[in-house]
Formats: sequence, C-alpha cells, structure tokens
Amino acid sequence: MSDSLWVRTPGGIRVATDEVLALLEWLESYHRRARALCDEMGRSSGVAQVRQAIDAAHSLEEWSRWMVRSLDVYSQQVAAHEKARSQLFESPRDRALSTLTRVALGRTDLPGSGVEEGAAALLGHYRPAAEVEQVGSHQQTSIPQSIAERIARIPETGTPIQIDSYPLSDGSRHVEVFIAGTAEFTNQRGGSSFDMSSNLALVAGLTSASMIATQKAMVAAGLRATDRVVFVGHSQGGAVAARLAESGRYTTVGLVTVGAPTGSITVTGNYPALVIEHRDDVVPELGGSRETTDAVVVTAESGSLPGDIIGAHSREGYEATAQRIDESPAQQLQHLRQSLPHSAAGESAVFREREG
Amino acid sequence: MDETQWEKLLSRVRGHQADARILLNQWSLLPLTPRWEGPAQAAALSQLRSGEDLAHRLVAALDEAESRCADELRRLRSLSEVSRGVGL
Repeated sequence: MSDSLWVRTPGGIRVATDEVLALLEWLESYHRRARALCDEMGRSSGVAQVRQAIDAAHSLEEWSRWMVRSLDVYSQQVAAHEKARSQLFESPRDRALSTLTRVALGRTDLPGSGVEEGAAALLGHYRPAAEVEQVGSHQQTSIPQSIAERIARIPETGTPIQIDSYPLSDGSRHVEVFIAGTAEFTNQRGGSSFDMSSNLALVAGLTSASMIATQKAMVAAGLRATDRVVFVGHSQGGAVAARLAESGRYTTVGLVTVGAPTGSITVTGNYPALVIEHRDDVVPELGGSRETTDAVVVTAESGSLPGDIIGAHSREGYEATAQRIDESPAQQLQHLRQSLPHSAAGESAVFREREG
Repeated sequence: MDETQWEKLLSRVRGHQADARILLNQWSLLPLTPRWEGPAQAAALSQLRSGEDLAHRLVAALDEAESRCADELRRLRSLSEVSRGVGL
C-alpha cells in the first residue's frame, strides 16, 4: 500500500486517495461551470458568427463530463472492491472470533454470530455506573482551528474527559468534548470506567460506564439542550464519542474519532463526521467489519516501524496523520473545519472519573 | 438581425468571454501534486492537459466570435449612417 491518505466518502460510495478525490472535486466544479456556459451560449445557436465558439464550448463540456464520469467510475469500483474484500475476509473473520468466544465461555446458545454478540457474551450481566469529578479548568481557551489541534486536545487517560465551551452571539454555546482511550486493561470494578468492560459494552452496542462518565461530565460542565456539540475521541474514547454523537440526545455538529473500534457503530446523523484509522493499528479492527456509514473514513499508514502496535495506535501518531488531513487538497476532508465557528473564545474543564 | 439585436448578442458574447477566461484561469488551481508526475499517471495527465487545450480553444473561438460580431455591428452602424446621410 502507498503512503497516501485513502478516503471513503459517506455511504461508502467512493474510495480513492485524497489526491484523486481532490481532482474529482475540481473536475465536478469545472464541469458545472462549463455546462452553465454551454447552456448560456445555446441561446445564440442560430448565429453563424458564434457557431464555432458554441462547438468549442460543447467540446469542453463533453470532455469535463467524461473526465468526471471516468474518475467517478474508478472510485466506485475501488469502493465495490473494498466491500467485496470485507465480505470475503472481514465478516468470516468476525464470525470465527465470535464463535471461538462463545465456545470458550460455553455460551453457544446465544443468538447472533457477530462481534457485537461475542462482546455481549463476554460481558455477562454488566451494570455500568460511573462517578466524575472536575479536577481543573482554564479560562480563555481558543477554539481549535484544525483536526490535528482537536486530536492534540484529547487528554491523558488519568483525566480522560475535557469539555471546552464557547459562548456564541445567538446565546447558545459551541461545545467540544474530548475523550481519551482505555485507562485500565482489566475488568475489575471500582477502577477507571474506561476499562475493558466498557470496551466490550461499546462493541456490543450497550451503554458503557465510560459513556455514563462522559455524560455526567457534560452535565457537570453545564451542557444545555441548545448547545451544539462536537465529539472527539481516541480509541475507546472514539467509540464513546460516536455513540454519544449518534444518541439523539445532543445537537451534534461534528464527530472525529481516531484509532477507535467503531466498525459496528453506524453514523447516520446530519453532521460532518471523520473517522481516522491507521492501517497497521489493530484497535479499529476490534470493532468488527465496518457497516455503511455517513462518516468520511480516512485510512493511512501510521509511519511506525513494523510490529510497533503501540506506535501505530498512539494519539501522537494520529495527530501527525490529522496534520496530513488538514493539509490535504480534498474538500471532503475540510468540511468539518469549514463548518464550525472559528473565532470564539471560551473555557475548558477537565474531569477524572471512576467506575461507580 | 437589426442593430439592437447585434448589440445584445455582442454583450452576451463578451459575457461568455469573461466566463471562458474564468474556466481557463481555473486550470491554475488544478490540484496536482508531485505524485502525479510519475509514469503511471502519464496517460491521466495527458487526458487532463487536453482539457486545458480545449479551454484555450474556447477562449480563442469566443475572441473570434466577439471580433466578428463587433465587425457586423460596425458594418450595420456605418450603413445606417450612410442611409441617414443620403436622407433615406
């Protein structure tokens, strides 16, 4: 694979490198302009003096239409190839893992055969609960200007939730919720709610303790129903971000996840959503094969050494990939940045949590 | 066509000229990176450059159309002045 950014557009309709996508976007815009000029010139079609110019306009319109069509077909074929690959390899792999889990637990009676049901089987009788405590705040926080800046704001796992609020001129607030990844790789109660039980609950489609902790932090930060929210998360925090963004409880205006097991979480909301995954990061694979989603999915090599699974999953590695996305010429990748307010100043609150 | 209709056509053609120049200038914004200079992309680049040639051809054809319409208008105007001069 090349070191290009591979972009999957909403609905999985197109898959292409960001350079091909940028060219396609440029050609689509060019074709629209050429067609409008052609239509306009058609009004003078009976005049001999302009006939040659009309012919030239038609040639340009036909050429740009053909180019758009060719690139569109190419990107759709890559998308179809990706879908076929998923059906051939990823779905059977998910089923095999799930079956092994059931056999190991002696729960072959459970319905379903996917990763979600396998995770539910592992959890048993899970009762999620969490408590949060605000441990810090900053005044005069400036709104992030890029995807990379958002990834950089995801806190450390010791204080996994940061909530930045910006008052807007219409009286509402723009809020950005940053959520860190797994803090404890165990299932013991009483520790961090960002543990393995929460990971399994998120993959199984259940409410996790880490979701409850994040929601409690949002209440403690004074979130109101009218506030517009962007969710940003790394790893487990990304799965929490996607689930909360899709919950219907908030006015979600953006979602960014990096290295998150979000394969089973379908984004359907009418807001810009960006899912970033490293091809050599194993964590996104744990979410199962990706369902059709309205998120833009970007995959890239992490740049880590072969076998460096920690480097491939690190937040810093994803920050570097996000910088490449910020610099990409593809408009699809700039959508989130362009759609959000830029100049507001606000305040930031940081929370720690524990399982209740 | 009478003088007024030729005036309208000339104005329209000048509008088309401006739009065609925007299309030609848009080529300076074509998102090509050094990656596109490799041999694998040679055919695609050749196809792309044919679009720029077509844009140049459109601008040239519109310049020619503008010149011919302006000539026609000048001819009609001089005819009408001659007609007025001889009291027709």
